[in-house]
Amino acid sequence: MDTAAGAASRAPSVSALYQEHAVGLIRLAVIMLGDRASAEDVVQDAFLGLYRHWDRLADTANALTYTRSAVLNGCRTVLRQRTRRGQHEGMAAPDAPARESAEASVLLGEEHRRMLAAIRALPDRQREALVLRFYLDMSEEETARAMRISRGTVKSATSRAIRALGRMLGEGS
Amino acid sequence: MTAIEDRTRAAMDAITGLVERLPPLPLPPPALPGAPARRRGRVPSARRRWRSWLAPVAAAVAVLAIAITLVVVRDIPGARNRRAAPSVSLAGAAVSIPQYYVTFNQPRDDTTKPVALVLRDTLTGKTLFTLQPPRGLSFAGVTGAADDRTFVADAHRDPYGVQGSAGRSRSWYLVRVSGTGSRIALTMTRLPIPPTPVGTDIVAIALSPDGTKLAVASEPVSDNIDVPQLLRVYSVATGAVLRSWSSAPGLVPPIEGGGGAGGDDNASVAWVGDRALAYYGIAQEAPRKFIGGVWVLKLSHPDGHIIASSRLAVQVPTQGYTARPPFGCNLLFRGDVVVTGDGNLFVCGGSGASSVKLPRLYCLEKPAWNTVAYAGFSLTTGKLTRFLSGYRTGCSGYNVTGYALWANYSGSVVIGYMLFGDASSGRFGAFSDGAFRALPYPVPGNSYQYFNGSLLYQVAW
Repeated sequence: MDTAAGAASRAPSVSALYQEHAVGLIRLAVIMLGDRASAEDVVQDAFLGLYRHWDRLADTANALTYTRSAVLNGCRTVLRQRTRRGQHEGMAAPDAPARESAEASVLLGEEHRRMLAAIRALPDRQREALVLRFYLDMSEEETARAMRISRGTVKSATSRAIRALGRMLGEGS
Repeated sequence: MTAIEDRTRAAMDAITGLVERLPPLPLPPPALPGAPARRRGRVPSARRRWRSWLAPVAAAVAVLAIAITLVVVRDIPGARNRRAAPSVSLAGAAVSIPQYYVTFNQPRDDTTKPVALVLRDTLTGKTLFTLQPPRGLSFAGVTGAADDRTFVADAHRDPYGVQGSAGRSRSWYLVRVSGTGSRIALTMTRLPIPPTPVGTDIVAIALSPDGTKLAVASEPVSDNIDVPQLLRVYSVATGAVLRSWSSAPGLVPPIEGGGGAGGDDNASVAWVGDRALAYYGIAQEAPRKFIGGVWVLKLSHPDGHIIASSRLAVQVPTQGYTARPPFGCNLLFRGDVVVTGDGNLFVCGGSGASSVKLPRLYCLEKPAWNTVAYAGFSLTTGKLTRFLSGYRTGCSGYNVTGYALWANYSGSVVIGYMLFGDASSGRFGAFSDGAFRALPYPVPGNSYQYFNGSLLYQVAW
């Protein structure tokens, strides 16, 4: 039952988690989606979901893990929607990098923009594995838990991603 | 590690510089532990008997209080004038800033003793006077008029601390600066404004520039996000409700506010002159589609729905990264509104991105990537009218964000603060035409945070 006392305890907890981790999660989502507005939406939705399900968390210490999974799920959903929309409307390739602002262009530089565009062109699972391993510096085991796949699959997805990036950038890995 | 791995990590890390700022998280305001989910039933019969006996006495006291308050309020010296303010030198020019501010005497999370109000000197930060709350009460909010000597504060009963005040009934007090020099003091007079009911959260408070009207936005403590809000304007002298607008239950509450998180928010509703209110509000266009902006609500508009009675004056851009167009305002965790004394401009702080990786060219441009500006948006046209002041942050370092706390009559001087990089450091002070004058931080201890219990909630200029 959703009680006032429950809300009183979870709202500060969720707000504190949001303050501490949301920026990092938005960055993660930006890498995944290439679009800051969508990234913010996904992260906000994840925290609202955390707020709603707070009382059902078996261990609130795992709230960040739960939220990170929710963000990854949210990114998958957005990417699926983009794919469907692209197919339906005959638009440009759904994995094409999102249009960046002029500021982003300057701040990122050509090298990083090329790299990020290539990362976004990767299949979802490979991109996720890459982001978790190289951006969040998660171990293979942690990545496997977050993605709910086996450790072997993490290894293969990561190495395939590296190879694919090398091909896209015209270089060997 | 391969070259591709290195480049992958570097590209991902570069994203860090692009995302520094958090959008607000629209959680429902924190509920009061043990607060009644709905209004309590009948009071005990013994208490009712006391109430019936006390009613005539209370009425007589109320009449007396109103009479005293009328005298006090009518006698506010210079309440209709602009601030009589000290001058400080900024880049060789003399500019005026408020001489005093009133804030709390302890960090927002200290619940060990009643919260008192302190009067401080803006230039030195020196505490000039400490005003203890009435016995058994603790101050929870304070808002100021334009004369720099008139304030309205509200107080609640135990537990102490502004952070635990959500849902507690508020009583209202006129607080005035009297005397000068070593004899300066704060005096307090109970106002006839009715106490808020238990179970009500204060969303925002704002005293009109002339000190005669108090705007109070409130909403019930609830688990639901979509609670009805009430925005009332009271006569400070009589406590009479001059205007009352509300929002419909089931819709997103229009006024963003502190919700009791860090003292009663005195920044989310601002006065536009003495005849209109401005607030940062959310209008819901579709189930998941919202418009955020500064809305203006004229007092001449009859009672009714808050949003329907208001006009969207400025659709606040929040997506930009730099101080040059497209300009992005840095709103706090909750929306806060600073309006120039002439009522013409909504003032917000922008951000500038500087990086050691940027070509030096960008550090020399003006306005440049490393210039943080305060911008003024016309409340009439909604357009970015002008940059009020800028601040060059140097060519190395981090992203910088600016927040406005106070603006003078025309907007030529802004008091605000700049946060650098990870928000662990910042500069607080007066900004004017590209110049900066550091001022002492106005809040104690760890209350100096830009989110959730922000500085703005705790300082009345």
